[in-house]
Amino acid sequence: MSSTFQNFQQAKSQPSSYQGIALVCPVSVGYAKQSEKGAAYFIGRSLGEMIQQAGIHKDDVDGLAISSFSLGPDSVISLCQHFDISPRYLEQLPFGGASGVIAMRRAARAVQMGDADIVACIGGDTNQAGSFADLIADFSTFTRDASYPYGAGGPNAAFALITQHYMEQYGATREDFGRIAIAQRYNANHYPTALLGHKTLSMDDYLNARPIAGPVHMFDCVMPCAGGEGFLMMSVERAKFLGLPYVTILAADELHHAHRDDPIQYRAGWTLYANELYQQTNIGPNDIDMLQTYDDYPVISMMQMEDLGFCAKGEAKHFVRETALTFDGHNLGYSSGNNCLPHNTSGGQLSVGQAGSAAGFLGLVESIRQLLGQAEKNQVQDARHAMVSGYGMINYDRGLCSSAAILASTTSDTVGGQ
Amino acid sequence: MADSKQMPPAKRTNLGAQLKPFAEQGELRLQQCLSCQQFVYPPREVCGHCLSGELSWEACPAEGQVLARVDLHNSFEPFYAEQLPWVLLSVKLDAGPVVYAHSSSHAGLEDSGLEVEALEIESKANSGDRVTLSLQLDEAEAPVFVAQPLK
Ligand SMILES: [Zn+2]
Repeated sequence: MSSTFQNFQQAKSQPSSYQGIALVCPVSVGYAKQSEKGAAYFIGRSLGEMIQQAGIHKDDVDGLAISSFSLGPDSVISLCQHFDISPRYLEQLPFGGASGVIAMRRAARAVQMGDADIVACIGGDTNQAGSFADLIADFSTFTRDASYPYGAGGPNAAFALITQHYMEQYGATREDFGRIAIAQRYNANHYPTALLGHKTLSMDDYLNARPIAGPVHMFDCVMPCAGGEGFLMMSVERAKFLGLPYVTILAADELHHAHRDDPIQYRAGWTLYANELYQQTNIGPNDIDMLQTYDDYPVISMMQMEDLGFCAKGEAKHFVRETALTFDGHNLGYSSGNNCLPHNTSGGQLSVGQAGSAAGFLGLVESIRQLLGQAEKNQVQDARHAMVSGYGMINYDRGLCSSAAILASTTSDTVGGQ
Repeated sequence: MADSKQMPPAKRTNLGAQLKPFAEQGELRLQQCLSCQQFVYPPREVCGHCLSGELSWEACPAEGQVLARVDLHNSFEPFYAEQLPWVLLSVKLDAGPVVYAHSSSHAGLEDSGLEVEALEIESKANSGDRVTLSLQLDEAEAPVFVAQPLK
């Protein structure tokens, strides 16, 4: 990269601290395979549940950060009249699977800078008959010209190509992907909101599932659904004043369309800031008590395990063979050794369902719940640090967005824990 | 049956539709930047290398390498759903861009009337294979890329 600013770029600035920011009142609302209700229902009910938990009035919420695929023709400003609120900070984040962490980062700055005191961060979408087919048929100009006409409608085909290439390059097998899906199903079996949580999943079920595209089979794919996910953001002082238990942000970053010269995707932007996240927090991957990846196909979770430093590039196959990924460390007979890293502790999208943009908040909301000790049957014991990552927006042949954050429970005594 | 025959999706952007006359002629063309000479794809308004707005449809070297090949077993589009499994190829052109392409083995493309002999080749390209890309009309008279293994 030649640029007059090359030297200046080498000293790229880093995000300043998220000190003083509190994440409170995680909610997961209204999950259903299909719904006649509109997106505003899932966003509005998420807001309703959050303010009830917080013991505040809707007018106390003066900021709204929203992600939704199905809200159109409305937008975040339309919601102000719908919900009869008068916020002074509005943000709409069309970033799919990365939108939760991105909303969190934007809202944190707004609260730190005094642009808002309480921001509701919400992802919410409906799933009406045919709405998923409509979304993928016209997802972007690039998909309309260059992927949809080839039968490659929707993310399945693009991810099948990515998965096929990854398997050929690194020797990962379908069984390895199965280990991820099966552990997540076990987690979902302990999380009542999960739409597939009432069903178990065995390796035989996984391997014998209906083929969808190339190596991608039924249980590698998420089930589109309706639902809402959200949390409130405010200052630590305000959370204490309101008597609300809270989680803090130790570090967070995002990078989009990174590694753009890779002909086919096998990594994403995380590789370029994961080390900085750890440096800023003085902790390493071994100190992370749970990992919430964006799991819109197990191969993408593997990329996140690698790119976020839990194992080397291409080694996720070994990592999942040697690490129990369940919330309680049960290896289910699919992993050897004593390693344990609770992963997608609510079941992830693969077992909860993909509620559009809400899926981009799923791991974040789950992490807040876990670090507050408010998870129920799927509570990770003694959880102090969570890594949450986001990924999304398949504009043509690859996911463009990446985001990640390290969150801490407030019993944590690490640097930046307050 | 013929009356109710399903068609592949014909919808394109205004830019994507500009490939149609070249597909009719069987000419492989992509947008080339008049400023930096790079070929770009998918079709776009400005050059992804130098942001020049001067892009022109020019003849493009047809050879490339298959990045990955998958058989689709599921499609939201009835045309494909009726003909599963359907082969999808991701091809890295020597000229730069990555292009999704049909495999030349698909009989459905014979109706285009172009290179029928080539279309009857049984073998389907796999990852790593060298291919040559062509631009054709599909059954919906819409422009599509087709990859054929090099001998
Ligand atoms: Zn150019």
